[in-house]
Amino acid sequence: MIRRWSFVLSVATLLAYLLIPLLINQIFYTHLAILIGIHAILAVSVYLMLKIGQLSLAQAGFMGIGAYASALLTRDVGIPFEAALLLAGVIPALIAGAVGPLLMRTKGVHFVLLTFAFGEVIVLTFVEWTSLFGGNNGISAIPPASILGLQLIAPSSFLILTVIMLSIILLCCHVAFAGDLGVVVEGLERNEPLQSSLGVNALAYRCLIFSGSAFIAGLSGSLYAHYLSFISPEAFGFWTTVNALILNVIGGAQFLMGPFLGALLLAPLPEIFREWVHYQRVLYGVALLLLMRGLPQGFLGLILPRLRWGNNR
Amino acid sequence: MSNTVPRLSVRDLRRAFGGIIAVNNVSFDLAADHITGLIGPNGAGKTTVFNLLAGSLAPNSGTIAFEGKPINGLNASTIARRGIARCFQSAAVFRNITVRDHIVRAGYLKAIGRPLDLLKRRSLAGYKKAARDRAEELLDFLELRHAADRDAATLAYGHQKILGVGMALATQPRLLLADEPAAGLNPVETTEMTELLRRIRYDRGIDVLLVEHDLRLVMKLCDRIIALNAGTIIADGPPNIVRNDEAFITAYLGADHAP
Repeated sequence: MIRRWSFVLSVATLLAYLLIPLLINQIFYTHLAILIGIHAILAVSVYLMLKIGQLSLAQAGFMGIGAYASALLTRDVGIPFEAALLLAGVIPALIAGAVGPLLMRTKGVHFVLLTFAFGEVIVLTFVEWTSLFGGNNGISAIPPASILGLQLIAPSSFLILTVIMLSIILLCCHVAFAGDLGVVVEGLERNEPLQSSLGVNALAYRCLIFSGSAFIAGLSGSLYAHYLSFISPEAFGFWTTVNALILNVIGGAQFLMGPFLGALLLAPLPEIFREWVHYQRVLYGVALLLLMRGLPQGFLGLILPRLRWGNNR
Repeated sequence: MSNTVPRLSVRDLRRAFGGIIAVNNVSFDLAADHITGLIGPNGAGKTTVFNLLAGSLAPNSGTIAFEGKPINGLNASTIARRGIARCFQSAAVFRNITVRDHIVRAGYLKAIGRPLDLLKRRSLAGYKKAARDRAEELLDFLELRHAADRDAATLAYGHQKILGVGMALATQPRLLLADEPAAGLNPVETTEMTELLRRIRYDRGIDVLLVEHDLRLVMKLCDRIIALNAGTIIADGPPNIVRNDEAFITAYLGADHAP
């Protein structure tokens, strides 16, 4: 019963998130809603890693790989957006799968530092390989997204695509974690040695989750690139991952809907307080300190102390 | 399996941590149908040997063969799938899950040991059904039927340890590695655990290798005792022989007590 209610609440929130900006019909709100969606998708990728008890600081790097892959494939190679979107997920997932067996052997602070370094290597590659990635100037004139020949130039149509993508990702995570994968992942987080002694290859599953999280981060990158039609390396640095982590902390890192709720609450702030840009970081820091002190489980932990919204356990 | 092939064969096993040699050229065979105790004072290398056998650590050199096939260097999950189970101190792993479901999950986790196994949905259903049937039988064997529907986290410590043994048994091992099964138990619970380990060996035909500090339990329960000190074997044999072994007494009680 609880699960059904949490599912209905999740769907209702997503619908409201889609419909309210469409009904208001002002570009500013639609723009905010799209940014919320893109940030939420990246935050879900961070959530997946937190689910196995590991903090990856390479997620914005994977987002960047997805963004550049999608931009270059549509602009220079001319492949359709649908295929580029898929490849924007597949390419970072393959890269994560390749480095995963090395990175995932480490835990705790070592893993955080290694993924930080890996994320920086990705960004530096965008900066230094100017012939392909355009260096600090980035890439512009990225073609707009189009689905089945229909160009999504109007922000409202791009918002619909963003919400559909976010919903599919959340639903896939929900279904995956409600099944056997959820059993394995919970065991990995709680007691990995015991889980291994029961025959579970912990490293292989950790790599799977790492790849899955890179796939999702890559999708957010593709949406970002085709929405703004311009990308540069600085958008995919350390702070972007930290912001995605903050969305998890604020929304409730134990809940699948946590990252989305965090994005709903926080992603609009920089846009709303554009004029106070100099104080943003300070305000952010103070707000975070207060929130973490008062709400260790995030907003969802406050609103639904017993009802684990969007959680599949 | 031929009777001449030992269940477990360890040859010249060595493992160092920096400059400290925790296990130094340890060799022994475990014949089938035995309860063997691995004992020694603190720092003797018992847990390291256990970790090497279970795949939690890789040896620096030496070989480990299970039923004639080498397993050294394999990871813990592969060794578990080969038929060596290890029971842990506390087994209540999953949140809001009953004792029964813990045993069921332990019984089918090796069927989804690798990510690709998740795709084999049809054979997985059969595996889960078998795991459920096995769990019912194990609940009786472990005498945990009365607690079957309780949240595992609410069990008393003694029952948690029995659940740990039960989860290891759910993987259908041929060799059970029991890491301090009586640690923290009261005398009644210790007797229950001793009896359970004996039944595992005699009723189910599963060999047991245990590390234990409670020497009375070890002497009473084991067919054979391997005593370690400073990473090497100092005594090996039936309890009544090891009990009177000079090196063993010296290691435990000091040179003044040696005969």
